Amino acid sequence: MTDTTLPYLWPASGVSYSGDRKREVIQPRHVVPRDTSAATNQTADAGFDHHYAKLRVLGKDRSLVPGGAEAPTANAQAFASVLLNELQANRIVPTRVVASAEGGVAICFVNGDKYADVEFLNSGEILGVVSNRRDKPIVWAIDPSSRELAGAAHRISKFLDAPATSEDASKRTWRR
Amino acid sequence: MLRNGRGVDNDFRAHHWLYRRCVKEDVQGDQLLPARISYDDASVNWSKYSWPWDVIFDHPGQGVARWVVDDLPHDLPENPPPKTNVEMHDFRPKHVPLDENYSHSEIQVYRSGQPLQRLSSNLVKKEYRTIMGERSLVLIQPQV
Repeated sequence: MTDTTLPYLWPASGVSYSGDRKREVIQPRHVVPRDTSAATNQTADAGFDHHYAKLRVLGKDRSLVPGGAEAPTANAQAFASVLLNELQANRIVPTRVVASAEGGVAICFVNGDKYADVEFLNSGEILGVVSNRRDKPIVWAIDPSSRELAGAAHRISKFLDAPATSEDASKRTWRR
Repeated sequence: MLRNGRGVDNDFRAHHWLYRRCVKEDVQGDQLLPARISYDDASVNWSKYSWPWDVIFDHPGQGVARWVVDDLPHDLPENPPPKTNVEMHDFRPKHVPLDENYSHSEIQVYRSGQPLQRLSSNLVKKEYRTIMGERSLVLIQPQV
């Protein structure tokens, strides 16, 4: 990172709220992460630097966007950076950050036969999914609030960390 | 590959394969990432009339992924929201031959047995894309 000014998509270390506290809505703001070094202005990696870097280029590099899909909007990227920050705080390292084929950003997790992602669509919708390849996937909508995003990170972490059952193992080759 | 005046077939068998091309960004290991699968782009080539590498003709460096016809999802959504009357969705291949590509087919969505032009349920779309990612197999790894 050689930027002399903070780029637009620096991961937010917190969120601000607008309106009624009962309907808190994230207003992404761009602040320096807590673990930024004062000497180098660099973020401690812990497996996240390349994800933040990828997120920043998704809106600029058309070659990273699937054909026919819209490039991620700044808003989708900003909300994705909020979740990345939440994941980093909880040491939940994603596998990939990609441009979604439905238009937006997806943060993806793969752990053996388990798959999860959170998609920040350009439409403003945020959808999460967890799947173990054996059962049908579980999809849920995520409100753009700090509580919901933290809940999604926790849910995915719990899902990925749960031990695979013997039934999982016995059916692993069933699909092929 | 050329149609040469042949008609529509639609005699898909459960063990037939459906091919599509992919790039590196679409792939994790030997499967497609669900987030990179578009619901709207349902074009595939049918193994009955096509080799896997036909989908990368004129697309150098791209890879090839496949699904088995029997892998296409049925009875979605699996977990409809409570107290809602949700109709079940099925996905089946449909032969849509092109003059320059006779094997060209599309994955068609049906609701309660009737073909749908456009699917509005994000729940079904997301379940579909996830299942299609998990049931994909990359036959030729992309180089670009």
